[in-house]
Amino acid sequence: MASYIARKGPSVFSKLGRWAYNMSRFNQYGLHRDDCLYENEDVKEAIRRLPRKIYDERNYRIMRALHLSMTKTILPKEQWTKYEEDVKYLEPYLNEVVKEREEREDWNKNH
Amino acid sequence: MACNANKTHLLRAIAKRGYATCPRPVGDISAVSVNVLENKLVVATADATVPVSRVSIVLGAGSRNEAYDTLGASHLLRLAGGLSTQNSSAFAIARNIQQVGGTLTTWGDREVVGYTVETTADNVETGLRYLQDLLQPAFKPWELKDNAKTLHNQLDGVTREQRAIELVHKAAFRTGLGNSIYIPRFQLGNLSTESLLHYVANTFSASRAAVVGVGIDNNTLSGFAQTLEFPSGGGKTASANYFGGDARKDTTGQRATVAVAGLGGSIANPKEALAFAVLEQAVGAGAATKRGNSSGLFGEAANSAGGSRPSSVRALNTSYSDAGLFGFVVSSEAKDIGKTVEFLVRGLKSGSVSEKDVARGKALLKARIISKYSSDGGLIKEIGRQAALSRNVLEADTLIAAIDGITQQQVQEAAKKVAGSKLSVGAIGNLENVPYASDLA
Repeated sequence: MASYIARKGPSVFSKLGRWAYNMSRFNQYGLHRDDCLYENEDVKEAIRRLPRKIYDERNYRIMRALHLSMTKTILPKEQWTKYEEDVKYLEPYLNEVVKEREEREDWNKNH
Repeated sequence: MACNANKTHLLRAIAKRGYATCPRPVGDISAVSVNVLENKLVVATADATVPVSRVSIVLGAGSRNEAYDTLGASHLLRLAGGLSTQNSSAFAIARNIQQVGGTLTTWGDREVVGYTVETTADNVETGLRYLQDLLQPAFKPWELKDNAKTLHNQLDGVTREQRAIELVHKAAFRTGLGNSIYIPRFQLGNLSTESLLHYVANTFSASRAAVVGVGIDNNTLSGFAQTLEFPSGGGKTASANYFGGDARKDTTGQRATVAVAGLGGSIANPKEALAFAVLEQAVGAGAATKRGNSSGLFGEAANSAGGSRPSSVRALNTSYSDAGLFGFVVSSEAKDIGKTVEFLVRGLKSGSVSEKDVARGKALLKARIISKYSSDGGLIKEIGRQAALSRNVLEADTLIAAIDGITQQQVQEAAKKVAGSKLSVGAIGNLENVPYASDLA
């Protein structure tokens, strides 16, 4: 399953990217980028395909974030997700789901 | 993949030649041409009766290769015929083959797993395109999970008789050939993608596989077979040991199904295997007429046991590459089964076959073999299995001549062999009156 190994950090490192990442504030809740994706059909399917452990970790981070939001606090700074350590764990699965959907759409167009 | 361009070119050539193959007349028995490639892959082809091409990849990945923790892997391989592979998605496989009116089926037994694609002769290119992908299955975890229901359904559909046969194999061989061709229930959901891929890497080797076709030219198919990429395949099949004993499964109900068998003939010794096949037909391989009685020794034994007539009794004969089983499967009311089994075992142990029985057995066996060879669907399975196991395919004429050459003496020896062997009992149902193997000795 080598193709499902997640990318860590951004694809291109830049100061601007780091600034934008930190401005987004979700990292202060300990979330990763892929925790904040809008859950459309593709994302839902990709989440369903996650291995159990990654799926549980995702849910834990989301629940912790909801709790923090409710109590109007954020994590201590050393626990914030770092720009370099943001794991795009959903990306390989999501890419595959999108590819499959496009394949289906192509087929329906051509047949 | 580096050689994709090469493949498409070749496949185009196949399609062109596909138009040119001339169907053989219906009812005629086709000649079989066999070609062994450099990597020891056997390619066998025969002509078809209709312009439909059937191509099978037969892999030595049957259930006998399963270890204890991969029990059921071969069943999942059969299931994986419809799942995504590393090169194409399940959707693409299904739609593209359907679009040309083709079908993709999987089959298997204890020795082999086969993938067969069936298309009209002019669309064979599409079929082969997706058939070759099946050598690199992906076993995506979510697809396995989504198909868990299918497995449950398949397990629920297994007949009592078949389960008794699985049990008698288990009693006879314990591991290896004793593994069921169906996934055991405790393994449902326990086989990970990694262990399945490992199983595939061990068993999908060219030296144990065969590519066979009906309605496709041998050169064309050999060309296709040469481009196939087999995983390295280092695994070796452990040779079978016969133990004998009991494997029983108690269930509710008033019926019992019992399979009793002793050591039979192996394919490694074709004469003996044929003698056992003749013996099977001679002692009663099932009724020849609808709802009729099974003739021969077993039918008579079951009748003379009295009680309510057993709903079915038939001889059981299976030959594997290095071992075999011979015996009977009987199903009856639980209260009568003890006596019926006792009478049948007495017949099995008697080790005698009359000349008349042998003559009838030969005639029945010949008819069965010819009917197998004369239909395209039967032919592809038959040559696929032969090519994968014995690395050669016998033509129908040769086989018929070999059957004619079997003497009564040889059949008698086969009967003596099973009579002298330790028995195995596989039973399912209400087992109150089912004897144990040690009682039958």
